[in-house]
Amino acid sequence: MRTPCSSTTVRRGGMSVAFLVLPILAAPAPRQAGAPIAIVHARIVPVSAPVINDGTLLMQGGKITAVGAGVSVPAGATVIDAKGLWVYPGMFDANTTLGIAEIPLGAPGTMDVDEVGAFNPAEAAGVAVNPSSEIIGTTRANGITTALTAPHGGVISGQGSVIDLGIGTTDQMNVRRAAALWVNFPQHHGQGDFFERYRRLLAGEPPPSSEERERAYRKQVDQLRDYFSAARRYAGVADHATDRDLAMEAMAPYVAGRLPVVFQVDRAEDIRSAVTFGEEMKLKYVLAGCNDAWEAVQTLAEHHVPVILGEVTAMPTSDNDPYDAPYSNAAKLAAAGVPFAIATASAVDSRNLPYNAALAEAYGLPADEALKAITLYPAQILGLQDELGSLAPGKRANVIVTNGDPLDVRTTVRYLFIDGRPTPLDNKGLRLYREYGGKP
Amino acid sequence: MNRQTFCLLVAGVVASGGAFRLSAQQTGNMLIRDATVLTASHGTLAHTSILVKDGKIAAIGGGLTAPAGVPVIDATGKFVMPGIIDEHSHSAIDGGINEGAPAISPMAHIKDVLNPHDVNIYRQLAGGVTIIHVLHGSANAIGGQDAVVKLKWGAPVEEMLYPGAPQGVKFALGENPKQSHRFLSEGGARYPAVREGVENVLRTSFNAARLYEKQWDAYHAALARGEHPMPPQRNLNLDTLVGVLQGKILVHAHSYVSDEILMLLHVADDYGFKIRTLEHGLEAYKVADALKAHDVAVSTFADNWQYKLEATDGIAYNAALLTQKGVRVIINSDSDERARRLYQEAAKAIHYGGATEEQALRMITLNAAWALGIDKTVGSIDVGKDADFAIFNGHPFAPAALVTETIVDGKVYFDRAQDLAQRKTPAEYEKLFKPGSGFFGGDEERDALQQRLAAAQTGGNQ
Amino acid sequence: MRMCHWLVPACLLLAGVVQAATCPGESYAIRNARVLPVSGPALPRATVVLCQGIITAVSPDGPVPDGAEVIDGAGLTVFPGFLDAYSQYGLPPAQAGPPPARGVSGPPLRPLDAVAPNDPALYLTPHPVGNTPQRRAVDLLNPQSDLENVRAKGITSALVAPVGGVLQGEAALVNLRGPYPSSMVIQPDVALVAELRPQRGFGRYPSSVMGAVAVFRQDFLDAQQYEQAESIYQQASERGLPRPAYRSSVVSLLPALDGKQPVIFLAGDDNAILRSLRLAAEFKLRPIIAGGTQAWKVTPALHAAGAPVLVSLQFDPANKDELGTEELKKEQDENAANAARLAQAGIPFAFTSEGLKPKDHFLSRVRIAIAHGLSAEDALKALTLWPAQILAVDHQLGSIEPGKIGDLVLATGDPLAEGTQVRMLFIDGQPLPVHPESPKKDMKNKQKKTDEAGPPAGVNAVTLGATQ
Repeated sequence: MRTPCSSTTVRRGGMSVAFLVLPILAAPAPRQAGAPIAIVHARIVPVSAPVINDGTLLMQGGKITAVGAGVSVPAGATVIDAKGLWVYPGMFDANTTLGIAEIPLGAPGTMDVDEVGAFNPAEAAGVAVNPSSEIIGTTRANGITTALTAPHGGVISGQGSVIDLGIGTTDQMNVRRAAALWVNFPQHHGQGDFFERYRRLLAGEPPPSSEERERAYRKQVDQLRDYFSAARRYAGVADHATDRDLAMEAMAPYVAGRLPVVFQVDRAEDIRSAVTFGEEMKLKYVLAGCNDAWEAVQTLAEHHVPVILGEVTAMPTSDNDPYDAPYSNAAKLAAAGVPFAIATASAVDSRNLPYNAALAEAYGLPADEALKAITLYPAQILGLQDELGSLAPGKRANVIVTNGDPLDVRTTVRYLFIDGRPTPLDNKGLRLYREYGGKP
Repeated sequence: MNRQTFCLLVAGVVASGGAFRLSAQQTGNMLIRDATVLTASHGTLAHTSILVKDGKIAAIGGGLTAPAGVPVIDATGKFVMPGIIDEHSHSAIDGGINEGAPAISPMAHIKDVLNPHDVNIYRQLAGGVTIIHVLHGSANAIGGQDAVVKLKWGAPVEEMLYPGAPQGVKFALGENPKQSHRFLSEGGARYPAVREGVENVLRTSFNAARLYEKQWDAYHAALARGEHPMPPQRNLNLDTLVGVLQGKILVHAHSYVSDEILMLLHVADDYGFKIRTLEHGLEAYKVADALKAHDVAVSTFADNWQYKLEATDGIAYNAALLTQKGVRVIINSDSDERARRLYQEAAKAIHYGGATEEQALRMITLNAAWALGIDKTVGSIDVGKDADFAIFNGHPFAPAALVTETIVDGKVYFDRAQDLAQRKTPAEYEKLFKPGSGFFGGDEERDALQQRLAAAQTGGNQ
Repeated sequence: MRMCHWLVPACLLLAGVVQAATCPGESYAIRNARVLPVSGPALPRATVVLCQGIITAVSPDGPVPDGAEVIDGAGLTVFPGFLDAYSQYGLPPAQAGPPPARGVSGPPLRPLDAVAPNDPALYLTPHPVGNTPQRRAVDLLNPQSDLENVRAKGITSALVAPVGGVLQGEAALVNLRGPYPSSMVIQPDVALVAELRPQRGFGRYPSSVMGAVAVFRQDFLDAQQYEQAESIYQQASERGLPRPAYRSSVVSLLPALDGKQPVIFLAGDDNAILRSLRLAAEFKLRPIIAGGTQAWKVTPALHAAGAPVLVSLQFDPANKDELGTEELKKEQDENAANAARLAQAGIPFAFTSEGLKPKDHFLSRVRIAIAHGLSAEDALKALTLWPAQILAVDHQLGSIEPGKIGDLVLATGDPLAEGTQVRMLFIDGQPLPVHPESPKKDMKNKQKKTDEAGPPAGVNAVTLGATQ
C-alpha cells in the first residue's frame, strides 16, 4: 500500500497544499487491511476527550487503536509527522442527498431524491449512491467523511443511509443502509402540491380556504398515523409467508422504536405536531430542519427530542423574526439541553458543513459544542456513537488532519482517512484549477 | 464615551417589522476608536481610529480624538472593514425581477420598482452590507437597467439611490435567456431558444441601436442647421443600447461557460463597447487572459456550482485563479440569504487557491466598487471616502465573527445590541405570523412558481 | 362644463342663480323632510324642488311649482345620492377581445402582427398585451346589468372605468338609472385610467411591474412625439414633410399629456402610489390615486403632487394571507384609519368600492372608517361632494343645491347610521322606488306597473316615513 507521504515529505504548517502530494492516490485504493498508520506530534482534538497537545493517533484495521500523548508507534507503521497540524474526527453531515443528487436542473437522470407516491419506506438511499459523484469529492476535501443521505419525496420518503465519503464501491461506502426513516411531516396550512398550486394560479382559482387546508392537513396526519398503525399490526403477526409486504417489513424496526424516524419540519406549529405524533406513536424520533426550533425550544426540551438542525445558512421564516433566528437556533437548543446536530440539508453545500457550524458559533454556540454538532452529536442521534463521531479506540478511523480550526474557512485539510485508509483530497475543482494554471 | 452612551445617541432607532429604522437624529459625525482597521486599500492598521465628518472619512490614525459633541464608538478589540458591497443582488424589488416576456428588456428599470421597506435591507445591514447592486434577472439576452443602492434603511427610495453611480444594464447568456420562456409562454416559445440565437439577438439589437443613433444624430444636426425636422420616435430599448455604445451605461453580463464569454467579447469588440463585469462567470478562469486583455471584472459565487449543466465546471478556485491571472474578482451573493454572510464567502478565496486576506477583502469591497464605477468614493477605508463600515467582534474571516454595527455615511444603521434589546418573546413572534401562509404568495412567489415549473419542464434553471 | 373646477367657488354661485317658481316640465317637491345639502348646514325641515331633472330650490318652506308631484318626506332624511368614485358598474364583467374602434385606426406604429417569433420587431418594440388607452367606458355601458342592488345602498352615480392592460382606457361618470347608455352618461372621458401592474398569463408583456412602468413611459413618449410631429406638420410653411402616423391609442393620451384630463392610477400600497406619482411628475400629468389603501403612509408626497385619493373601502392588506391575527388586525386598523388620516393631512379624498368584496359591505365599511376617526360629516362628503370635486363634476353633482342634477336619496335616518333604510331615490330628477330585498323579477314588474299607471301617482300616496 502506498501512503500519502512519508514522514519526511510532510511540510509542517504553513500553506502547503495537499494536492501536491496526494494525487498519487487518485486511483481508488482497495479497502483492505494495511499497515498501521501513526500520526505523531499532532495537536489532537478527540472531541469526546480533552485536547492532546503533542499526541499520537494510531490506526489499524480500519479502526482507531490508540489516541494519546504517550502512545508508542508499532514497528512497520507508516508515520506521519503532523507537527503544527491538528487532528480531528472526520465531520458527519446528518442531512444530505449526497450521492443521489448530482445536477438538479437539466440532468434529471442524475437525481434520485423524489420518488413517486406518498409512502416508500422500503426504498433506501444507500442503494443508489453514486460513488463517482463529483460532489462527494469536493465534500470530502473539506473534511466531511460521513453523511446521512436520504430521499426527500412524498410523505414517507424512504430510508436514509449513513455512508462514508471514501473511495470505493457503493457497498463499501454504506456504513448503515437502514439508518433512519425519512418522513416529511405534514404541514399546517402547507402550500400543498406544487402543480396543484400552479393549476389554480393559471386557472385564476382562489387558493383553498384555511379551513380546507386545515382539513387537508388533518387528513395527511391521519393517513400517516394509519400507515404506522398498519405497520405495527403487520409486525405483530409472526408469519407473513403468504402475504409478505416489503414496505411493511421495512417499517418494522421503526415502529418498534429500534431505529430513528426523522420528521422533517420547520415551523414551530409543525414541530409541536411532530412531537405529539412521535410521542403518541411511541417512536424513537428525531426532527430535521427545524428552522423555527427557537420558537419551540420548550416543547423540544420537555420531550428531549433530538434535532438535526440545518441548514444554518438560512433565512428566518417570517419577515418579523429576528434576523439571526436560524443562526442562533443551535445556541438556544444547546442552552435548553436539547440534543442536536448541525447539518446542511444539501448535497452540493455539504462541503460547507463546518461553516454552518461556525455561523452557529458566531451567534452564541460554544466552540466545543459547534464542533460536536458536526462530529459526535450526529453519530449519537443516529445511534452510531460507538462507531463514529470522535477519536477513540475502537471507532472507525475517520480522521482529518488540518492546519487549524476546521470551522475557520481559512483552514485547509491536509490528510484525510476513511476507515483508516488515506483518502485523496483531489477533486474536480482542484483538477480544473491545476489544468488552468492555478498556483500550487 | 462608553457603549451605553453611544446607544443613547442612536436611540432614535425605532422598532419596525422586527427590525429598526433610524431617525434623522444622527449627524454623520463620529469617531471609531482604537480598532483593527482592514482598509482594503493599504493593509491592516492596528489600534487605529477613524474620524468621520459629514458622512465622509476625515482622518485615519492612532491618536485621533473626537471633537466636542461627536459620538464615539469604542471599537477596542474590534475589527472595522469597509462596508460590504454586494455586487449582485435582487433584493428590494417590487413586482418581479424579470421583464422576461420579450427577448430583450432594457426598457425596464429597477429604479422604478425599488421597495425601500424590504426587510432584506435590514438583514443585509446586519451582515455588514452597505451597498447593493440591484440587478434585473437573467431571463433576457439584454435585461433591464440596474440600481446601485445604499442601504439607508427607512429612507425614501430617492435617498437610497447612490448618486454618481453610472447606470448599468444586465445582459444574460446561456441557459436562462434561452430557456426561461421556452415552454410556458402563451403563443409558444419565446425567441431565442439556443445560444446562437442569444448572440444573434445581441448583434441585431446593437445593429438597430446604431441605426437609431444615426437617426437621432441626423435629427439633431438638422435642428442645429435651423431646420424643423420631424422628431424620430423614441424607443426606450434602443435608448439604453445607445447608452451602452456610447460608454455611458455599464454592461453586467450574466454568463457561465467559456464559449459564450468569448462570444460576448467578440460582439462587444465588433460594436465597440465594453463589458464591465461578467456576472457569475463560473468558467471565467478558462478564459482569464481574454478577460484581462478586455479589462473585464468577474463577479462570481464563492463556491456555488453543479446546480445546472452550465455550472458543472464551476470551481471554488475560480476567484483565486482569476486573481492570480490579474483579473479583478468580486464575490457576490445573488441571494438574500448569502448576502448576509458575504464576509465568510469572500474568505473562501483563501481556502480555495490561497488568495491573501487583502485580496479576499477586496472581492467584497474595492473590486465591487470598481465594477459599479464608484471606487473613487467607496470600497476602502481612505480619507475622503464615504464613511461606510462594517464593525465586527473579531476578524471578519474568523469562525466566530459577527457584525456588531454597520455604518452608512457616518450613521449607524445596524446595532446588534439595540436589536437584541428590542426582541420580543418567541410566543409573541409566533403570533405575528401565520404558518404556511400565502398559498400563492405575492408576485415574486408567482414568478418563482412559473420559473420552477419552466425549469422542471425544461430541465432548465432559475 | 369642464371650465368649472372645484377649486373655483364662483361656479357654484353661478349655479345657485337658477330659480323656479314654476316648472315647464316634470316636477317634484319633497316636503317636510330633514335635508342634508352637504354643501351647507342641515335643514331640519325643508322642501326640495326638482324641475326637469334639476334641483331648483332648497328652502325651509319654499314654493312648490304648480303641478309638481308632492312627496311627504316627514320623518325622512334627504341627502345627495352617493357617488362611487371608482367602479365597473354597468360595464360588462369581462372586457375580453379587441377594444372598440375609436376614430380612425391607422397603421400601427409598433408591430402588432409580427410574422415570426424571431422577428426583431417583436422584441425591439414589444407590444404590450391589453394596453388600450383608447377604450372608452361610454362605449361599453350596459344598462341592462343589475344596478338595483347598487342603488339600494343610495349610490346614484359612479365613475366607471374599463379594466385591463397598463393604460386601461377612459373612465366615464354615469348615473345608475339607465335605461339607455346615453341617458346614463354625465361626463364621458373624465379620466384616463392606468395601473402599473403585470398582465396575467405567462410570457405576456408586461410580465413585471417594471415592464408596466416601461409600457406607460413608452406610450407617453409616443404621445409626446406625435404631438410634436403633428405641431411641426401643422405649422410647416413648406410642404413635403411626412404626415405623422395616426394611431388612436396614442391620440387618446393627448388630453392627459396636455394636463386637460387627470390620470387615475390604481395603486394600493405606498410603493405603488409613490411610483405612480413619480411617473405622473415625469410627464407632468394630473394624478389621482385610486385604491390607495396605504395612502396614509405617503401624505406628504400626495400633498406635493396635489393628488387626490379615491379611497378603497377594502381594508385588508394585499399580503393578508401572510399575516398572523395580531398583525393582520393592526394593518386592517391602520388601513381603516386611512380616510381619517387623509382628512387630517388635508388630502382630498373620496370613497370607492374598488377592491371591495362583496360590494354589499360598502356602507358598513364607511362606518368602520368613521369608527377609526373619520367624522360622519367628512364621511358623507367623501361619498358626495368630494368625489364630485375630485372628478370636476361638482357643478353637476355632490350636494343639494339649486342647479345641480336631481340625484337624491330619501332615507329613514342619518345617511351612514346603522339601520337607516333607503326608501326612495331620485336620479336625474326621476323617482325610483327602492326594494333592496326584492328579487330582480319583482322589481321589474313593479317598475312596469308604475310606468303603466302613468306619472308616479302611487308615490305620494305612500307614506314614506320611518313609522311605516
